Amino acid sequence: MESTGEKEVRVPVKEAAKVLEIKGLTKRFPGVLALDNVDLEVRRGEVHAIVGENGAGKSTLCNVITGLLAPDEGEVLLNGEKVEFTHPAQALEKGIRMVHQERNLVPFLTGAQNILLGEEPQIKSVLLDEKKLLARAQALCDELQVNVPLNIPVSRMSAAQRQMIEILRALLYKPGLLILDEPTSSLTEADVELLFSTINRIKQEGIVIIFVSHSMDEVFTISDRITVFRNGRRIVTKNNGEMDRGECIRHMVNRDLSRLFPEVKPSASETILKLEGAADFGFLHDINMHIRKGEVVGLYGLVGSGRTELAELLYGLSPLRDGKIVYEDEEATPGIVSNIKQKFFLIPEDRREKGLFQNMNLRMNLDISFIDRFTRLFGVIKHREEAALAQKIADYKNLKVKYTEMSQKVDNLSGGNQQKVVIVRWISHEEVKLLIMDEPTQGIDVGAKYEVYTIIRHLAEDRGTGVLFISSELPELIGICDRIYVIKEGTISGEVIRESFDSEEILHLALK
Amino acid sequence: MSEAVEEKKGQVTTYIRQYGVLIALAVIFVIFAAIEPAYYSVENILTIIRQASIVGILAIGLTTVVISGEFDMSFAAIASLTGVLSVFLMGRFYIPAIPAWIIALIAGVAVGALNGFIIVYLGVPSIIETIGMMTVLAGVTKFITGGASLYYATFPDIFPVLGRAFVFKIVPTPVVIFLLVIIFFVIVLEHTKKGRYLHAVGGNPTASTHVGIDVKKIKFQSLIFSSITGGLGGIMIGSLLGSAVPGMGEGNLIPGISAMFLGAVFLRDGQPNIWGTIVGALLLAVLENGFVMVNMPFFMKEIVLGAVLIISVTIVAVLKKGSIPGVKMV
Repeated sequence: MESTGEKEVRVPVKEAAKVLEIKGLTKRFPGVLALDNVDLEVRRGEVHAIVGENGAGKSTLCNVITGLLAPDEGEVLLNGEKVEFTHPAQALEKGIRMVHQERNLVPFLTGAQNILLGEEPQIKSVLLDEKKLLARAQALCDELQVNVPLNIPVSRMSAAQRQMIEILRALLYKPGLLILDEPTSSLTEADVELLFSTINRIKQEGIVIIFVSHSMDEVFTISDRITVFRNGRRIVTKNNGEMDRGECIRHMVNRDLSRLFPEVKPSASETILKLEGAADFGFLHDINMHIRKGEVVGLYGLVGSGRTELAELLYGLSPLRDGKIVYEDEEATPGIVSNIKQKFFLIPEDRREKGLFQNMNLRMNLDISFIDRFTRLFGVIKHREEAALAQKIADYKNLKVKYTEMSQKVDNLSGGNQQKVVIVRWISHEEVKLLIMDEPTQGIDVGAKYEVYTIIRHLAEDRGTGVLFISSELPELIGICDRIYVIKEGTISGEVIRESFDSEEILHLALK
Repeated sequence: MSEAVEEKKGQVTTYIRQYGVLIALAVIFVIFAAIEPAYYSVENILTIIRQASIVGILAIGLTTVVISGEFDMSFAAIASLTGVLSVFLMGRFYIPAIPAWIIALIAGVAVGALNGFIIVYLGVPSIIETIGMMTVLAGVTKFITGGASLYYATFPDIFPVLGRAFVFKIVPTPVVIFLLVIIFFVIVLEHTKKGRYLHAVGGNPTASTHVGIDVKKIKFQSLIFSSITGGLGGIMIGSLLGSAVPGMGEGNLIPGISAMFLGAVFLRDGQPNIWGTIVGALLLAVLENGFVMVNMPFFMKEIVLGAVLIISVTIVAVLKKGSIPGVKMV
């Protein structure tokens, strides 16, 4: 598995050789034209970003390049040579590597073992040579100046560390082409900076990088050229610098989203939730915060700072060791069932793992929190009433869930629509007094994000809901929150109000 | 291949995947009927259904447990327990039938509750715990009978009703009971809140917790369900055999599990479901009965039954191209 690139000085992008060239690529699935006559070239020495809404064809394109799918029409040329992959192993052989959005790690194996997975050095071709394995992994880390634990199981690592292990695995044999699919979706600012410096380092080794992302900030920071996909077609490719964010988004959605965030109208009233000196049995301690009705409060912190732990403490999913939680002026011991009764809801992170029922259809996913409304004696379900209720939920005025029919499986919905399902399941209750949203915009596209932001502001401004918005994306917190709490190492390190929002200061509060 | 033809092909393979077991059932039935005309008499068909009934009842309870995300290997042993216990009480102590049956059922449910407690509240994986329980029960039934099989001369008059009697002169009682069990479970699983929660808990326990469902309670209840069906099946077997044989329920373990898998793999692409289990139980009974009718050597039965399970899963795997639908279970 030799590298197809050599050590090279950075070459001006215009004259660089074409490492990957795609001509007339077309791919059809039943009912969907995923790629429509796509032409694309990726040049030596560049970081080439590919952006587009969900369903625009980015994943399909990557799957063709890496040999997972065969195109219906068109050709792929690698360094001028035509390639037809019928199996991903062939693409690997040609030096094409991809780091996927979902983690492909073996949880109980160590970092080093995961990096060398499939390439384990052996003694006399029989026994595994663990020493050599660890040394090889360490050498790779040193070369890239990356610092991740290699000797503990990846299940015990943070999201950022796992991300790094995957990237290291992809870089083990100096690929010619590296595709990164949403590499930053579980990383915070500081982690992203580390990732970018690694990317720059490997760029200098001549490795070409395709960077697929929904994050405009990152795309405009790291890429040399940007390609926009929409509805299976390549719309435009421009040098970074020749196109601004607004134009890029316009190409992506073909409508003018001149603002990324809806307008914020302050509408806070009295306090609905207060934590005083709260601590859990883990590392959370001295938590003092409050949320008011009609207010969107942000919670920002690095991976491992305690964001989700705080959400769980607030919601009664973990017990209080010290301090108190005051809900509507009454000291409360939160518990899921009583929370729901009191119109206090949680939208958990990771919708696939914690929010959706993959084995039930869309209708059931929507109406499960209302089940008592359409059951009668002995819990018997009235199907007609259920269908009517589910329809009402799906038609919640500010949220348009795009679906084909109520009986379809939720798996077939796009990420953005899946997230909407989990959101509308709760906000379509008549009263939503307090809502915790943990990473609600993770892995969804620009258009859907805007809809979520609008919903959040609508909840606060029109319905008087107190919203706790937990996120690792500082821009969106700055975009729509009234106040932001920063959490660091298990305690609140600062509180910033909207008038004084400053990215650097907030980041500073979050960093160790 | 054009898009339209491909779509059509996709639909056909989906159709075969989903209804394949039903088609197989019909085909096998026809084959046996051709070989031996007595096969498709009303009498024989009812016999087939009667044979399917007990396994079917047990498998329905198992299906409920698997839907909720756990497994139960002890249902057949619970059947042995209640069978042995009921016959023992009637034959040795002359306890009337109905009280004896009730006592036996209570014992069965007690086992189910114990299973439920250890699995759900102590956190022991269900497969391991129920295998352990199954072994314990094997010993317990031997203890009750003193090791031997017990045959008694006198039984209460009502005793054979569950196993050997007929309703409306021709429909065997087990079939009627089977139908009642089916109706009950279909209603509960598909049309009640409890059933919805059972599916939710099996599909995503975390999401269920977030929606306010008591996951532990639901799983506990599913294990109670399977101990009830297990116990019911046991007293039916007791009534059928008229004797207390320590391993009297064991023969239903593999067929019960097979019926559930057949149903899950075929009808709903891996999701265990009641209708599939019923068809699976019928398929197995059709085969068994057919073997007897055509005088197949006794050892062939197990070979064929095992092969049927393997072949059917393979067909589904081939049709689904690459992904074998794993039946969702812990």
